[in-house]
Amino acid sequence: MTDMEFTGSTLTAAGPAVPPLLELSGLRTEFATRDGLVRAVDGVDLRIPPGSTVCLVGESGCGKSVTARSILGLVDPPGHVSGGHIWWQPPGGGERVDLAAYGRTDPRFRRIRGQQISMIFQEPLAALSPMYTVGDQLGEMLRLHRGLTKAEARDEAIALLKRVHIPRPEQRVDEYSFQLSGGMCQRVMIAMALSCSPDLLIADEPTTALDVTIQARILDLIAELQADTGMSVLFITHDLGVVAEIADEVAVMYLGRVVEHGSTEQIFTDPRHPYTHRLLRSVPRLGSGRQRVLPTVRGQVPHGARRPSGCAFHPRCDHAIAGVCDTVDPAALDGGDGHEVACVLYDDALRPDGRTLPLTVVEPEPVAEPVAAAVTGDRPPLLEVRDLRMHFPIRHGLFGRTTGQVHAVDGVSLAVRPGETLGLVGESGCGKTTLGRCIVRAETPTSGQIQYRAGDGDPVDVTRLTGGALRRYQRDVRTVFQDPFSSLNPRMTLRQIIGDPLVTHGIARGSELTDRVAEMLRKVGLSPDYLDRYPHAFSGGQRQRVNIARALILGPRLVVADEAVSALDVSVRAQILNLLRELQDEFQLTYVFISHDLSVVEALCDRVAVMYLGKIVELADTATLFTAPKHPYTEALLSAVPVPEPGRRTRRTRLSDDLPDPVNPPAGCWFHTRCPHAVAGLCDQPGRPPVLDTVAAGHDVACLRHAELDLTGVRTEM
Amino acid sequence: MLGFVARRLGLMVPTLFAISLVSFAIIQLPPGDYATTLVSQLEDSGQTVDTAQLEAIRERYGLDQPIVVQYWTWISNIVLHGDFGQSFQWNQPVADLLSSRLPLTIVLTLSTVLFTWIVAFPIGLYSAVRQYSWGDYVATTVGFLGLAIPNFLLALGLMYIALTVFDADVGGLFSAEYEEAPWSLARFADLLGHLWIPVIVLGTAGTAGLIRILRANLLDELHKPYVVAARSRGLSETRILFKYPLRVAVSPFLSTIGWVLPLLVSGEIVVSQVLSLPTTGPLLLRALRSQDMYLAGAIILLVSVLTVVGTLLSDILLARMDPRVRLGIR
Ligand SMILES: Nc1ncnc2c1ncn2[C@@H]1O[C@H](COP(=O)(O)OP(=O)(O)OP(=O)(O)O)[C@@H](O)[C@H]1O
Ligand code: SF4
Ligand code: SF4
Ligand SMILES: [Mg+2]
Repeated sequence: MTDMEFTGSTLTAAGPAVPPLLELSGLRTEFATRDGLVRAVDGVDLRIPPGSTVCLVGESGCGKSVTARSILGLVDPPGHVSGGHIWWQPPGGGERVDLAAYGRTDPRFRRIRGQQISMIFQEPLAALSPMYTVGDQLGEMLRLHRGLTKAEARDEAIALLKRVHIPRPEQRVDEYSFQLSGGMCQRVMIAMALSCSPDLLIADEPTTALDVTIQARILDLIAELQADTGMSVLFITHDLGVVAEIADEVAVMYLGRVVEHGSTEQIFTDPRHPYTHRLLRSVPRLGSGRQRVLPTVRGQVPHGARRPSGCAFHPRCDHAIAGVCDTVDPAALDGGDGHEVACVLYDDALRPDGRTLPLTVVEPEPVAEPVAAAVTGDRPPLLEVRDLRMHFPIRHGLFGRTTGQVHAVDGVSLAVRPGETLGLVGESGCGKTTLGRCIVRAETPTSGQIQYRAGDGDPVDVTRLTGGALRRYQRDVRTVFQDPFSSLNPRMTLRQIIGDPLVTHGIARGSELTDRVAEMLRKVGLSPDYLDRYPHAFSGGQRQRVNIARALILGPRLVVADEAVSALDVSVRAQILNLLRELQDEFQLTYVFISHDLSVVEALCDRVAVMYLGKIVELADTATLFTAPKHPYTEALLSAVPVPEPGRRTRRTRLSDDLPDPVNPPAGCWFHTRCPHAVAGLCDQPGRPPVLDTVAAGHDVACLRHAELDLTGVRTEM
Repeated sequence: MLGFVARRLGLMVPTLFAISLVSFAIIQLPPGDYATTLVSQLEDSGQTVDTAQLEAIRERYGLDQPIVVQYWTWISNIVLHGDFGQSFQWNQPVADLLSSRLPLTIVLTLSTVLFTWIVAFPIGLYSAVRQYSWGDYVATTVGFLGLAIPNFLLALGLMYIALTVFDADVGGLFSAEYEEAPWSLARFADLLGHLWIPVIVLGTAGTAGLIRILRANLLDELHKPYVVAARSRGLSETRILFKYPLRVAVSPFLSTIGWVLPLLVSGEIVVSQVLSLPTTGPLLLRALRSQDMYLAGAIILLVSVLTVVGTLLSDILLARMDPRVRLGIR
């Protein structure tokens, strides 16, 4: 199927065929690496019709980004486009051109880049140069492509910033990227991308690094601008919720190929490829309640240099047919309705007798789990946080005078019950991580208490512990960090990494240490053969298992997991969540689970605390919090989460991305500057900040209007 | 920016004070004071000491006073009158002695910095942009040699070449006939004719180092997301290179201003001896050997102050280049 050319028909075309704006056919991009030739893009066929949004989805390492970069000739050596065509239809008619024939530095590319095809990236902060102001970088483009003068470019830059809804654009235009939040930077990138009215916008995971609330606003913005300009969008994401939200068409990629392509409706209601089935099943869905076991895609994406023979998915496929799937490389076939799939099951010539269509995937329904008895609160809490404060001084000026305080944690009280999983959610910068660090005593709080009940004895205040007592506490309370890539020392073997706490706490050494580490590896689903390997040899999911093993090796009672699955792919994420659950049962662990991903929190946690600017604004059991929230902030967070069901694109509450300065929080209710239910004269009165009130058994809310408001959560039925 | 400069200037005050204290302490290091040293020196050479003159000296340096007063006398004479004391070894005021040598040291320093920049910049740029090309390999090899060859060897080699090929004696900074002559165009030309050897000798290691730093920094920057993003906006390769990554990568160049001077004075004394340069390095060495402490103290003081000023200059330039430094963002 390599060089097969598709002509004419596109998926959305109901009437006469519209020629695609962009058509990739048999595109190949390779990297010559030490491990061998990596075929990152291995024969991609994809069409993007004018005016529509095509989403490219798939697990990490499937070649989504490389595909996007190949289109604009942005693949850096040692990578290069080695075959296929990138047919681009220039605006205003004319011959279509093959971008694959252009060299990386071809001057003809420069007329297309930024003017006809624009691109935005995953890390908005890193995509802007810190050396020049926002206005400078925006103006540069305008002067180059639109021939504006310096003064005109500045005015236009301000107008563009306004168009992407950046508050106070006249000031922002003279600021630097590092003075803006991530959401603002992404808006600037979008402003740049739109400055020359391109026909195609390529967005490579533009919201993955952002908070849900900000993501929702960025997605709105892209949709709004698309409606204005009629441009097409190629949107790359691994978040199926986002796909359902914005896509007209979906292309599913696996190992450098598009394995299924159809309308959003077709992909979500009638997925055909077994890989698409598994992907859809592995997303924790908001509103499905706490789940016993999350379905996953078995195994993991193989290394790019070791593409399996036949159908590349066959080692992980539940429907693989021995003797066929491992030899035949299935071509993409159109089912007659514009829905293409590359799987032998859908090829009448290859499908063995007895296999019928459509493919039905037998999958145990996720069981909502009753709240465990341990959690209902009849046992004394394991840990009790009382009025905890952590203030960081801001130093300034010549002699480092303290000019203010960041109230990272500002009067938090909460109890962690033995055996439960307590979720901690909120936007970035709300103090989740600092609270977690105070609990494990990586940070010494400014004031307040943390009462810890070791065994059956009396509780001790751990904020005052030092020396041996502190070390004993830190054996009981361990952390799993966010980033599986940087949190492991690359120069240590797994034996050293996982065994390190045993050595520092003087518990085991020599062969005993080896035995315990090997045992722990087995527990977290890794082979003890890996003992002497270095972390770089492992994937993100495997490294997170190592992190978990390191946290559990001392036999802790409480584990604080800070964004432990945020950096992982959907399917790997589900595997790690399942692992955490199993280990909890096996070792009677208590978790404090910090995450900004509400669907993950819902799937794992018994109770959830919502934080805003260092304070807890709502605390309730998971089901109550998700179905009947009482705080407007919780409601806004919930409604910002994209739901992987295309039918449910609804209007929802949107928060501005202008977070108040945590050094000078607003008077009255700190949320009133963004709260859609705020009432002037009540919520902004300095004298009466709302405090955490118990509104029902186990349900605390800090909102002055909670009694009168009728807020919406997410529905529970699937 | 103004705030930044003011802050840096403010920080200089305690630094300068500390430097003056250390220099003064060095002056006080040898046993006895200036007067007793002078007496023993004179007696050694068989001369007699005029008691009245000795008294004048004690008076002049406040030698009978407490140490704090001595320090105050010393530093206020320097700051208010430019009087660094007397060198008994040369029997001249230290100020006169230095006024001929210090400018030459500064000229040599600046020339070396310029040479380093002019050579290192294009080569570093080339080897980063054309990574793994033969030119890159050549630059890398030459760079390693430059780092590895001891400077005095390089000095001897260059002098030999100058002598045999150009038939010129290039030791020192001036030919004999211009040594004591007043400044003129011809004397300046003569200086240039001599300057190149010490500049090459002193600058080679720094140049090689800078090439490697620039290459490494630039290679880091060239693959940063903002470069890819700039390319995706349709900017030309040259513009991308010069406007974006280069600006980040050149900061080590600015730092050279700060570190070249002390290097010249301290590390390169050997070279100065070999090339018989009339700079401050050899002077310092001799002064220390013969315990001519006012001279030694003055040189240490001045060189340290110049280093602090050089660092300040490079920091200000750095802040001008990089808004993160200017705005105090780490
Ligand atoms: N510079 C490179 N050198 C070598 N291999 C590379 C390079 N860039 C990408 N690859 C390989 O190309 C393959 C596809 O990578 P790509 O970044 O396109 O994946 P992706 O689908 O975008 O993943 P993610 O969801 O993590 O962004 C991977 O096997 C990756 O290891
Ligand atoms: S071709 Fe075979 S292995 Fe590949 S997806 Fe279809 S059934 Fe699974
Ligand atoms: S107190 Fe007012 S501003 Fe605060 S959350 Fe409640 S309604 Fe909103
Ligand atoms: Mg990617």
